[in-house]
Amino acid sequence: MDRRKFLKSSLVGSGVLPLLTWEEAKAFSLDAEKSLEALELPPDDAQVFNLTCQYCMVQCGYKAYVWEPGKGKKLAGTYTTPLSGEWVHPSFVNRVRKDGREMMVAIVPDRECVINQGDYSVRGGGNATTLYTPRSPEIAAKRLAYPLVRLKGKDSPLTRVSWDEAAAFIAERFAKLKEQHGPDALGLVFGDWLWTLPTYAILKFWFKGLGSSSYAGNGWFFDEESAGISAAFGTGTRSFTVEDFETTKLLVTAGTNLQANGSIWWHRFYLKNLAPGNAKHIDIDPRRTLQAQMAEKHGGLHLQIRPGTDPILAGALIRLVLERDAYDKEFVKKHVTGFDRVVETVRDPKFSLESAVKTTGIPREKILKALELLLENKGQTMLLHEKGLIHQMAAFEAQHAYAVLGILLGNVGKPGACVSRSGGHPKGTFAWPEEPPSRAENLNIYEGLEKGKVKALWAYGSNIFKQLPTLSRFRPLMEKTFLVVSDRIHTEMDAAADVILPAATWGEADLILASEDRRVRIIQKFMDPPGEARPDWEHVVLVAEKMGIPGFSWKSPREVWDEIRAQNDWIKEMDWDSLLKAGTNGLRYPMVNGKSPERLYSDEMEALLGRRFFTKDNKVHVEKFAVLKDFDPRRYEWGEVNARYPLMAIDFRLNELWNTGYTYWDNPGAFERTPDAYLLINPLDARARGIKNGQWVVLESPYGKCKAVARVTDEVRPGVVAMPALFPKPDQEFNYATRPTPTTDGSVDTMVACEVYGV
Amino acid sequence: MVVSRRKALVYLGVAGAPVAMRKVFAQGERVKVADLAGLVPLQPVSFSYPDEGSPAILLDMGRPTYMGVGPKKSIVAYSALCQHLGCPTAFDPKEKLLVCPCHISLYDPARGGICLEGPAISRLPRIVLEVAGGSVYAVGVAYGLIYGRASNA
Ligand code: SF4
Ligand code: FES
Repeated sequence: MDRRKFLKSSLVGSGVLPLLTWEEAKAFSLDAEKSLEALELPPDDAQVFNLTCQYCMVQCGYKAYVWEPGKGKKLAGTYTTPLSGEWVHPSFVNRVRKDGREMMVAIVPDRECVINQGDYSVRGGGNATTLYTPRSPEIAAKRLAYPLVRLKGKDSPLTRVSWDEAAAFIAERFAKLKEQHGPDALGLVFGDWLWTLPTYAILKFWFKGLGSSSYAGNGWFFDEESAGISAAFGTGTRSFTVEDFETTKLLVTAGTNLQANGSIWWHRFYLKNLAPGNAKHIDIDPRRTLQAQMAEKHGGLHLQIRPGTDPILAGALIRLVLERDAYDKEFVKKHVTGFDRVVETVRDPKFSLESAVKTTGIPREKILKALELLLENKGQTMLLHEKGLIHQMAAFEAQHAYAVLGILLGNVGKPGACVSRSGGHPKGTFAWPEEPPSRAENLNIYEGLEKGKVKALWAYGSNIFKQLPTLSRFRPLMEKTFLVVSDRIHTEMDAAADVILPAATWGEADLILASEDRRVRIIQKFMDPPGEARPDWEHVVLVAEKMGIPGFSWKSPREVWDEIRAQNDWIKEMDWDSLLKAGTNGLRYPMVNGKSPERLYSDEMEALLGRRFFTKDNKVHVEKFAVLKDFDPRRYEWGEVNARYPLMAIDFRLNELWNTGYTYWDNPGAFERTPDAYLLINPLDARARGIKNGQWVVLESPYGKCKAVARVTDEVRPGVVAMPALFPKPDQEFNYATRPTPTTDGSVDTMVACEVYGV
Repeated sequence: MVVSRRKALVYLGVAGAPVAMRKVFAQGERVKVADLAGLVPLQPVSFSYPDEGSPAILLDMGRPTYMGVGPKKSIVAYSALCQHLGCPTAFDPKEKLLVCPCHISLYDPARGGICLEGPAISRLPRIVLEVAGGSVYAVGVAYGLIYGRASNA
């Protein structure tokens, strides 16, 4: 068939269709279509290792089976049934080097793990495709294997050196910059979920070793994006347990697309609860996602909210609950302080139903239907939220308002009921070394860069040319610093890096991660790292030793972990051996005398810990709700919408894309869906600009631009466009156009006024 | 470094493959699936291939289609079992997609069976078709592995 015709026919149809660009459509040909002769399966005597997924916060359990090539099982015919969790997809199998020998490995979702029970997502299903394999020159070329240094400044070439030379090079520059400009001249941007041990190592080195307070996490400037929740409960830690998805009566998701990010949670909710008709789902999202469509199909709601107006919707719902005198009086009386401030705040006319309809763009009947569902399912509702709220300017207000809505309805600490962040990445920090006092005046590393105060940067498990906002303005500033990179692959940072340190990653070193439902697991090493790559925490040890800074002489991951757990009562009982023994189900925190509550803020937790909440007075605090008095969505991002930038852009997470996409091009199941970033634009806005479905467009904001393929669809309302976050092609990175101002909870803001035009 | 799609496909197909991939498709038995005269566009025909344990779906998309056979090059067939956890997919004539009811993987029969959304990490294996004497025959399996098996043969 004629390619052009094929392309044309393939672009027509469903609202959920991603687009193939013309280039991709051409590549979409027979040469990719090869049948497998036979897949070798793990033999009964394969070596077995416990793992958790290298990606999202759900932290599904996996097993690695390792065996000698040729010694695997060969099976003919059909050997298993649907939903058994026994089938080995060809993508689960690869060849790696272990102890210097080439071995077969199968990375298989673990049926024994209580989280996923043999299930997996498109991201985790590709775990094995990302392994460093001697068979692939492509993968070998992509991975960092040896320390590289630009010995004579930015214009000199990257040269392979020994670890000792690399560490000495960094130590000398750091010492000199610190002496000349003070410790805060040294800046850190770190992947805050990075396998727990490295995160602790680098923070201790930064705050205590170097004495610097210049740092940012990946995607935030200060505070870890939970302020609106911790204001109420004293911590932002997620409070639910995975089983709740099967027992809840109502799931409310605000700015969190669990189907695409948190997939196994959604699978359990959908298959066991929503589809059989036991539960309902209200999805609050400016996009009409697959999750939103399924919510509607099964008797729930999609509230297609105008971005940035969540505090008004939550406030209006609270006002309606109060007007009907339908809040959980017992819970409020017993546990809540600050209730009066809520009552008084929602009296403001901006929270009236009429006004909320106007501000949020959600029809009146839908808000009222949402209210009915919330009231019907009091004490049995999970309210979850995430980046859709956190990456807007009024992040604190939105997060806190939804929290208060849930609290007043008594959805706290009960089976199938919670108010919580859902999360994006696993929990990686269990101990936070004390920050230098200069931090109080040094919250925003971008200010330091702009004023020329930050002279060096260590990009530690974080691609700083993707994960920070307003890159058009700040990337050039970052490039000028003395730039140290610790990473697993070559990235666009190579071009500016002074030193590149290769990291041994998932599967290549013993690591620790925790799921967002609070299970801590060891991820066991099952293969050799490439070349001389070493786990990130060792990078810190080497540099600290060269600088003569004491306190970094760990010899093993176990020693790092022992130091961490000694500082955190929740995990102090979890020694390495008991974690090893606990396998893919791990141990849960907070743990006291070998026991852990299933849910936070529950009777069970109170009995175990002697307290119900983590606030000083053991109460739930809602008095900060009063900040909503000043909230006006026309300020902030909407204030920048004008004739030149008439549209509002938001970003979202692709199901198949993890983080900055550092493994995206390894997994064909991921990249063949979405070979280029696309921009969702309403047919009205597209027509007004002469933009056709499938054409390349530029998104331009007051802060910069990026590129995408237009997808003309009513998935977004007129006036709003949306594109994926962190798409792994440099010119398709939305962060080149995002705003530089930290949100009210210290995070980055990915809502921005813009114009879109064809190229 | 961003690997181009083309290069990545080369890796997938040749260099890093865990198993041998010598043939373009696994040549199987020749099994009659349907008569051309009886096919109605967008009405799926169920059959099994390569054996009873592996249900498949034949579709006349009603217009020229990627790898389609027949007078209009519009006829394609795929393994009906979802590549995620093996639930049987069903054809949705409105969306023109094969939909898995278990966790909603959506496959596009017009584009080689690629998965557009949902947890499946690969395309549906395509059943290779031949037309002879007014009938459509299944003759082999192209791409991947049929769910539940370690070999398509
Ligand atoms: S849901 Fe998350 S943890 Fe589970 S397999 Fe997918 S990416 Fe991995
Ligand atoms: S079995 Fe088909 S989507 Fe899970």
